[in-house]
Amino acid sequence: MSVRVLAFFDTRYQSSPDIQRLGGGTDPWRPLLDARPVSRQHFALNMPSTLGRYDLTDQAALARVVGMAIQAGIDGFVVDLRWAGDGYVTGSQVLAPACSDTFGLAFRWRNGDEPFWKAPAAPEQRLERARNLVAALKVGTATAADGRTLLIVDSPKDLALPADTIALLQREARRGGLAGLYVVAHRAEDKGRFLSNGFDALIDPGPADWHSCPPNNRTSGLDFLEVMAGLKDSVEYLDKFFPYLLFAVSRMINREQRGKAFPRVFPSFYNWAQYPDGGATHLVNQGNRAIETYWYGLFMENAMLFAHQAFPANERFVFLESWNGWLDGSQVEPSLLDGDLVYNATRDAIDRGRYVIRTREIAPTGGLDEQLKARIALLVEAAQNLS
Amino acid sequence: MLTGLALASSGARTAGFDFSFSKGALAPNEIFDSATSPPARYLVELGRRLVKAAPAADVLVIANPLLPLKAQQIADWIKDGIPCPAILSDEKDFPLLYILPRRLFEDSERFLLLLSTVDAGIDARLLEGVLGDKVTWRRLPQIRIGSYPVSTATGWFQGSDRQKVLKVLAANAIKIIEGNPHWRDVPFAVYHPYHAGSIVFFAAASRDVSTPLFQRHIICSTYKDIVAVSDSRLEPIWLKLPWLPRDASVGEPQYFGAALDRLGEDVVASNFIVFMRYSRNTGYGPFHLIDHDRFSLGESLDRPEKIRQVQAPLVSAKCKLAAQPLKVLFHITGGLPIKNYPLDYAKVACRSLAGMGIEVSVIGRPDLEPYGARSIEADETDLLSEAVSRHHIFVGLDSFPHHFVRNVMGWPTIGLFGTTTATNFGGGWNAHYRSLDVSLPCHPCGGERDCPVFGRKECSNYAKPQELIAAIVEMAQQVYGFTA
Repeated sequence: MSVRVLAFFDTRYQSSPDIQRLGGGTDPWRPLLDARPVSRQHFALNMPSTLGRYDLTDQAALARVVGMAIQAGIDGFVVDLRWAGDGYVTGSQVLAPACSDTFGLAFRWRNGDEPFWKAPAAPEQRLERARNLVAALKVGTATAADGRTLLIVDSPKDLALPADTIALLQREARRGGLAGLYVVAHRAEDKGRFLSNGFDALIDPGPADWHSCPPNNRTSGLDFLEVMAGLKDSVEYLDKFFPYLLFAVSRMINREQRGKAFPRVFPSFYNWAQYPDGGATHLVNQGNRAIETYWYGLFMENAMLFAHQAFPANERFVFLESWNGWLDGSQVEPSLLDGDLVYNATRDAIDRGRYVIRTREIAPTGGLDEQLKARIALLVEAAQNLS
Repeated sequence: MLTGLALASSGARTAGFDFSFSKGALAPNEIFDSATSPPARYLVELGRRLVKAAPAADVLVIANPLLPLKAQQIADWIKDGIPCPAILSDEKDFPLLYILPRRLFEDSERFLLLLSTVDAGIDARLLEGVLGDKVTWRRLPQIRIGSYPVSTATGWFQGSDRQKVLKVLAANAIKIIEGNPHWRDVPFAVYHPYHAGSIVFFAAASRDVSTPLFQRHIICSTYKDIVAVSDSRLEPIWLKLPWLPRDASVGEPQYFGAALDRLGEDVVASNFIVFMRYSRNTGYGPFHLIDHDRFSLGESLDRPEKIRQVQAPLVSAKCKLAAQPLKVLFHITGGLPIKNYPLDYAKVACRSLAGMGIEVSVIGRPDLEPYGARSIEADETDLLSEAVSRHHIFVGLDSFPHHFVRNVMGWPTIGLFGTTTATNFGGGWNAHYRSLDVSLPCHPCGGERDCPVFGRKECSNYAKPQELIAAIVEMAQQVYGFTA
């Protein structure tokens, strides 16, 4: 099986009652329309073009959204799963009719916003909450990872009893009629022994959560004083600016040392709209450009090749941030400022990645047995020490 | 971005067809992306697609492949009618559209390879010679293409000097057609005289074309030894010039001028020469250079299964020695520091392999002898062949020895890729071939100096020793039954 590309998808762009429970306002597009940069160093947020400011409850609009994603080679969406006080909500019911065997849903559990799992609780309460969670996953066609529904745990460190929680969710999933869960921890590396706590894999955190290289703007006390004196733009002190290419390469280098971690690819990123008081993350190309499709395309293509080489056949994923993350500039959907540049770059990169994978699949390697691999690793380590 | 209209004069029906340069899917609305194909080769391909898609059409309107045009736009330009044959150009002389009779594609398509696609006057006269009819040249006053850039968003690698080459060759073709009554029998010659790896790729491609458009290949005479063993189906025309230096001290168009002088009038007058050095960026598409060359030589490559990369290799051979002790030959010096396999990796690989009882030879690297390798000299093709034949597996960088060993000798080979891509220059995966790299997002940078990301002299995209050793052992197990 080729590598599957799953795009993070914000389901809040809908007018159903769910939107309130998901934390959106009456007009889900309003935050985008209202956002204004407070610095000349903030890239302007983009606006939708081809697909417009859609309402996902409109079946025709939904069909266009999913149709364009499929055309780009995207295999499914990752939707957020949130506790809404009386149950879990994903907003993905509207997506269910568009799902198929070749386009499915995966879930990102926003457990960090949910105090319940941060502390021990009575077994019956945990059981009820787990059943609730599993029920919310039974929407549309799930993206099968090793035959199971894919669930990303957004804040694995916030689980008070991670191994027990994962085991409980697995039990309830199977009791609820699912084949099980493929649980992915949102972590850059397996330093917290996530994989031995029942997680099946890791996923690289997003750009805001993992600054993979030093920022361009390393501020000093003098900068602080100049900002205070009104001599310098405060975002230079408060926000962080990273060179896109180095940021991306730093995420992909030496991956073999990080455990089984799925790559997360993003065309651009600047989340100042979510940090009005400073602290935003900005990725910058060539000093002043928000997007450079050449490097983005290579990021996507090479991430796919890496996934193909590194993971078992049914567990080869690349995560794309994002399909419609308009508020952090990561959207792939066609836009007013970029037209279909990013969309086309995505489709081209996925096409290229799949082509190369196809040329490599004609002669799958038998692989070496684990004993021989371990022997080679020992020899290399010894040779490194000698050199 | 590659477009055309099919017109049927009977019912005045018009059908528009838009194609794009394929990124790998080779869908029905995509055309293979070949860097070695001049713009006119795409014009031929568009003609083939239109003829197939619109069997009733008798006139084909083909947009200049150098321009990003859509069928709707060109239909608008000719809505008031235009005779056939004709060329519609911008307000000066840059061709926008070719309006051509279908029969041209059925019985004379190869002559369309001679079109400059950059000068309507030259192309009109050339078409008149081929068709024996008057060709109308109309200008579209509101469009001015201006100075064509060196590199375009659609992947063209051109510039005005390179386009002068296309004009010179088209003008030469006119001279042949107008001066030689037997011009239809004049052979077509590929102009791609260097470098060594490219000669190997063209030779391999020439053996793998079902409808060849070319008979000859202009090649630097310094590559005679390579041609002698490469089994090309193209007859060589020797160019007695050293190959183009890689330090950019001589421009490709300037070299071309010198090449025509050196080839002499007789050769130039007795061959339709087609420029097949790079017209497009090699890395724009994902395809292998051998497939680029196959398309250039006439193969349509319109379906994924036609790609050489997914087929069995053309040649396959292996070492006759016993599998034990396993012998591996390395060529890991790329001429530029950024292309070399990193020194620390090489030391560890040599030492580890020696520790497994595997004999390692390295071409031209006495500095690795303290780490368990044996340095050998193999700077001539025959020495290389001889050295390879004494080893079970060859490990090479993206350079001539690798391409030769894989595509001419068919030897079990592992390709190491750093700044360039295996998909463009590798060998086609099968039991006898693997390419290795670590798929960094900067790959391929194509860098020839320092690493553009880290500023180092070495490339971080090379596979680490552990992966390399695993690949060697795995291939040895598969091909030779080796046991570690």
